[in-house]
Amino acid sequence: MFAALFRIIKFSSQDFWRNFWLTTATVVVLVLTLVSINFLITLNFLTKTAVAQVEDKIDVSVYFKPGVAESEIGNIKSYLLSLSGVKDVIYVSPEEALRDFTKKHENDAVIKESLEEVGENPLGATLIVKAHDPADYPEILEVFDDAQYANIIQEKSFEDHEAIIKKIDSISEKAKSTGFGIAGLFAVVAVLIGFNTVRMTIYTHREEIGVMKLVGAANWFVRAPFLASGVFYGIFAVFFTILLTFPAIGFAEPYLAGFFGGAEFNLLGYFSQNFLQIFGWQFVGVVLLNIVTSSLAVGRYLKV
Amino acid sequence: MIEFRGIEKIYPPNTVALQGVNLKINAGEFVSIVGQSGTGKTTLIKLLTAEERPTRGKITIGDWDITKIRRSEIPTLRRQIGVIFQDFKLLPKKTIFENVAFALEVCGASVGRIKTIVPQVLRIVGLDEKADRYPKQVSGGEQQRVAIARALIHRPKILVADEPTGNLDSINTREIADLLLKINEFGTTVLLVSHNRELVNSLRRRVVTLEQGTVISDQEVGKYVL
Repeated sequence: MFAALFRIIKFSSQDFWRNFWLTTATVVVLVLTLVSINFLITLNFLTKTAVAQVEDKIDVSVYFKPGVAESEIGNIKSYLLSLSGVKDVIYVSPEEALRDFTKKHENDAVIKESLEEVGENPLGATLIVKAHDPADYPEILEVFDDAQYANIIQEKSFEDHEAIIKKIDSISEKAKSTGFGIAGLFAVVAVLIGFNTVRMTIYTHREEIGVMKLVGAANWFVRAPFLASGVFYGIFAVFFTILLTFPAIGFAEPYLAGFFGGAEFNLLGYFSQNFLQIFGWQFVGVVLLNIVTSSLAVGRYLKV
Repeated sequence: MIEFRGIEKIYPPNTVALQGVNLKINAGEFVSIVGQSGTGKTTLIKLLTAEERPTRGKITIGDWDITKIRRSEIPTLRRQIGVIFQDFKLLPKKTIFENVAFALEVCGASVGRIKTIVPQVLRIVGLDEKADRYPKQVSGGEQQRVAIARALIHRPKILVADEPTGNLDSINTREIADLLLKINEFGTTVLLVSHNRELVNSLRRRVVTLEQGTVISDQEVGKYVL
């Protein structure tokens, strides 16, 4: 059994090298298919990261009137934290608020003068509320519309980044559609070229195949090297895809970060951490694609 | 041992290659099948090796009805029937040793078995000294002997020789005939398909003559009668 397996691998690798140009064409198209898929993976990662970073900036700031007791604000904070949609609530004391405000406007002489004239801290405490999901903000905002808070809340601010997220999603969706189209096209070309490669290999090996059948080689043994060549194509295609992908990411990462508004990405890290998952599945996919293609060609052209 | 019973083979649309062929060949016999081109000799061989199936009739080898043979059983059949051809069908990029070993390799034999059996068979056909040569480096007769060695490698019960001397001169023809007789003496049934009148007559063995797809003569110690 091991001898048969070894010989199938031997015959298959011989086919692989003897038909060098056909093999090269097949592997190149497979590499292009995998690169297109990696482009989609990259796009998906970038979109998710960019959207997550934008979403992270969304919050609701509730400014309380000066003099509202800290205990009262503490009660409101506890209530907010009990809501399922609320991820976190940060309490900013009037002193911290003044310190931040002063620091933010340290070069603004008018504001500085005004503060000195007022003498005491004109700012109240602030609660900064973050939701788990941007869709939860309307519900959170509704809480503060309650009449009982009308006398203690000075102002609410909610900066919605929905437009930015929609824009990112829109660009990403268009790019994904294009990417899927390109990957699909390459996959079809890969099937056609793979089919033709096996057909040509069968033709160039017709003498050996004839002798194999003449001397009583099992049908599966005659067919197996052609199917095994699919595994070889897969190994080489994934290998060259890896060789191309990492330098390409290293080169493109700064440009992509710029394109997505300076968002922080670690695309190389993502591909490294998910190396086995990404390239393992690509290998399985390519090998399956090749085995199906080879089976079709063998069924069509190799009569045993 | 081999029996063709009521064999008819029609190629589409209506070319009759064989009709009403009844033939019994006993184990260990040496039978020459003769006839002009297109009389169905090669078709008869193809039916025996399950390369073709008869339109009607039944072919048995021992108790094995090969007209109903499954595709998966064909390799087993072919390991029991060694076949040689006029054009030798050797692989030019393999040495003589590799050509013979190839028949064992593709059937899953171990390296040890190959190293033991191939030299033995090459010795039988007298080519053990030329095992490292390529087919084009030896004569036509020697190439045919390589083909015979390959056909014998599975120790078949039947050896079919389809015009084995068609490409050979008279000296090489005689050598191949002697080799076939020697193989027959070891107990292998030999079916020789030939046009070569001198060869068939010199063998002084059973001769079956085909004409237009039917057996017109079957003589125990026969001659080429056409």
